[in-house]
Amino acid sequence: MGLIEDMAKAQEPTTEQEPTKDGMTRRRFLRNAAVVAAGGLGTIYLAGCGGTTTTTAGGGGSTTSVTSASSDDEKWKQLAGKKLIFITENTPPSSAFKTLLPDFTAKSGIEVDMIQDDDPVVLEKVLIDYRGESKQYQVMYDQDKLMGGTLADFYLPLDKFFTDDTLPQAKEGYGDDSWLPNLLTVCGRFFTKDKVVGLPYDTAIATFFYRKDIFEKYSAGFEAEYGYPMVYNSPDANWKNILDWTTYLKKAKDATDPFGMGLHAGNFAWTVQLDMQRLTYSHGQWLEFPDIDDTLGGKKPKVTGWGDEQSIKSLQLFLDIFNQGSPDALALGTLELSDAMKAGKVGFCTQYQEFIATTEDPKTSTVAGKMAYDIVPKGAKEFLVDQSKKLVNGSNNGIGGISINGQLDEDMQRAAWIFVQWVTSPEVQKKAMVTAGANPTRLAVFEDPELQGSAGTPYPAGSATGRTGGTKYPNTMAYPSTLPSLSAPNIVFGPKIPNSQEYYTMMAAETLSMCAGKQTAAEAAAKLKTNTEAFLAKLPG
Amino acid sequence: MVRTAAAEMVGAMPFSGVANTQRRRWYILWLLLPGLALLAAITLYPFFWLIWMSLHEVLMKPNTPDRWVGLSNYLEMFRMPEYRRGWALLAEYTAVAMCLEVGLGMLVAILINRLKRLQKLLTTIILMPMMMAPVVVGLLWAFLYNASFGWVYWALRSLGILREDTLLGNTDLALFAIVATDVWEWTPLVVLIILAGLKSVPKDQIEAVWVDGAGGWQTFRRVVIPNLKPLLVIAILLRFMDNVRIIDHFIALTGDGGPAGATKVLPIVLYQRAFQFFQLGLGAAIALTLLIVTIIVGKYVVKAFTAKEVEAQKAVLEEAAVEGKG
Repeated sequence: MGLIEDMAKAQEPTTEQEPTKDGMTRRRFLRNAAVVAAGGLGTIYLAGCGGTTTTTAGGGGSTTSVTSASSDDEKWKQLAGKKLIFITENTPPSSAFKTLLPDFTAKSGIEVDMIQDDDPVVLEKVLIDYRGESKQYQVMYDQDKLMGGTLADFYLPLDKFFTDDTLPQAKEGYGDDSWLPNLLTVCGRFFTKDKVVGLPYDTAIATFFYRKDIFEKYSAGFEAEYGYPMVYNSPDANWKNILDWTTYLKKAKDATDPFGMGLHAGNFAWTVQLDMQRLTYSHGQWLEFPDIDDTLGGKKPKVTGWGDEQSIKSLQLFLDIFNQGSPDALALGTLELSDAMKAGKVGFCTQYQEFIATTEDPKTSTVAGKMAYDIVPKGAKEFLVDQSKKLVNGSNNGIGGISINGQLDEDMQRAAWIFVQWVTSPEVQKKAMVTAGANPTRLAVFEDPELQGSAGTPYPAGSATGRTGGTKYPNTMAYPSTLPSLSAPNIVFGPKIPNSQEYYTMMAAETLSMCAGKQTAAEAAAKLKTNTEAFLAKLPG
Repeated sequence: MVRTAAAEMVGAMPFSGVANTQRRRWYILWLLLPGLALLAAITLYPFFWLIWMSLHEVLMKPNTPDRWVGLSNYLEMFRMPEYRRGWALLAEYTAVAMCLEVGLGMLVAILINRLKRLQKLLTTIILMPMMMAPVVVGLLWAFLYNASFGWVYWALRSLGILREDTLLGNTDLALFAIVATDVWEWTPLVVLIILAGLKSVPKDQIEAVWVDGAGGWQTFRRVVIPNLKPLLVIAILLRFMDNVRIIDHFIALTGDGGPAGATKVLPIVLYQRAFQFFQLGLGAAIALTLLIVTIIVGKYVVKAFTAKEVEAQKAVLEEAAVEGKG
């Protein structure tokens, strides 16, 4: 009984524990820990208070102590130790910047992890991150049409950083005139001029790529049949020429020579739309959504041009070129088309200038040294319904902006800005241009004498915009055609609309269904009209 | 009722000496509860959330409440031409792939079973494709089909089967190119299952029919196939459930729908609507119809294969009952 009582007593809770043999009780331990923590916080507070009076970085929300009078090094390193994840597309410009990330980390102490993926996947991941507010991606690629229209409200307005002198800044600033024409509006302003949510990061400008050796080889035979030479005489080389050359090559080419025009007719719906848009815009500057601003975009277009006579004629032209081109066309999206060009299976195509570097690399391309580059084709009067309208070298592009997650706290916003202004600075853009296949968006880089002087040799001889190889900086061969491609009357920047991915998918599906022989051009145009109107009706607002 | 020690032991763990009392059963249930709760959380909760989403409009903006739309998502789904076409393509894909996998799997298993030597080595080699992740298999075959450097493309061109176009760029052939990929990867699974079944066919039954004068084909039909039936059900069910929700090979080989939508099976439609267009409610509705059809067809398959066995079992039980009464 006594033993049991002793045991029972041993199990009973006591109001105060007996001290352990080294004198430390649980209560004493917790008390000491609280004292140490309070002391530590007090020390940090006193250190923060004492000494420096600051223009408080970030308007009071930041924990950094940098001031406007701080040195450059202090401004760069104010958020050293932070880590950023930058999600972007898997194309040459981003790959080029990736090689330079160690430079940024050395300068700022901020580590950047760059994740590259297909554009639709980037959009998907960013939107899921946005919905879940998990802030997994601090910096993101902002493709103007594909992503910006959907994500504009998610991005952080960057205007507040432009004049913040507690942060490192590009000395050229961020005004419209420090970038190539219109780029800041296209990738940085969505539906309103009141704020800028992205800076121009890369630009994929549509350029005409062609095999000059094939043109030279078949020119005589072509001229004998068609009455004019097979020469790309820009800016007047037009879509009728493209059709004629493609038709001729299909029947006259040797077995090992390429087919003619390569179209973007594969799985990437957006580039199918861009490919079609260049052709339609060339003929009377026809627009898919004529009632919205072409550079700012619109949240709720009301009308579509699909279904009119011009759209039918343009679709028919696209179909005729498709039927004469590579039989593999339906498998050739943008990347696959680039591979096909490099493998010598396609004779000419409109491609984005960022692919010039890899096309001219003998390690990855069988056509290095055989290529020429020029402005995109002009509209042809044979395919223009209203002859009073203009024929232009219809050009478009994907302007890639770089934006910041609007859900971040102040310190992460500032860290992200330090990276964004670095990667869009002229020095870094020029370095990326030189080391890999980047494309500058800064006017200062574009106008750099060394790069301007490296733009290859005029081809054909005397051409203002055509160039061919033998340059240290292959992408510069598109420079002579860049400014006319980015300017009126040739450029079409839109449509910047919400849920653009759905529109592109629908548009590509009908166009490619036509190419596969499942419907005529007129039927495709009618379906595009109906489906686009249904799409517009579903848009909020 | 007096519960004897023997009754306490009914259902007890063998050799454990643990009695199967009510208290013991509650104790086991309490021990299982955390695991069951976790399982419910990761299966039941998403399932009911899927039903919720299918009846609402789910916006991507954070902190925006879902809007009740009733059956609108389902109505929109049934009106979509790509939904109906997605089902047709999926049915075609599944039927062709399963016929090839089960037929080839059976043939290969029989051939391996007859080998006296190298059986184990050959089995290991044949099983290797199914050890690879489906998306890796898709990428591998994308390279093999490539018109610039693919071996399969080169072989088909050399044999004159293909002209200048490729399998993946051809609207008539792209789906079958993906079937071939699936058959390459998953026939080994059917081989494995059938081989296990062949090893367990009772030899005395085979000897009995031989004694009766049956030939090879009759032996196969009357003894081997009936013994393999339960395993065939498993193989068919497994492949059916996998094929009906396939997406890996499709995305790796032909992206979001292939040449002019020739490979836009229903899971691709679902993926596109839910994760590219962010129509989560519509995507949930599509997912639920896919699930329901999978369950219905699965049950039908099991019923079709086991109907005779169930009838035979009933007859045996009835006979036993009659004898018991007698």
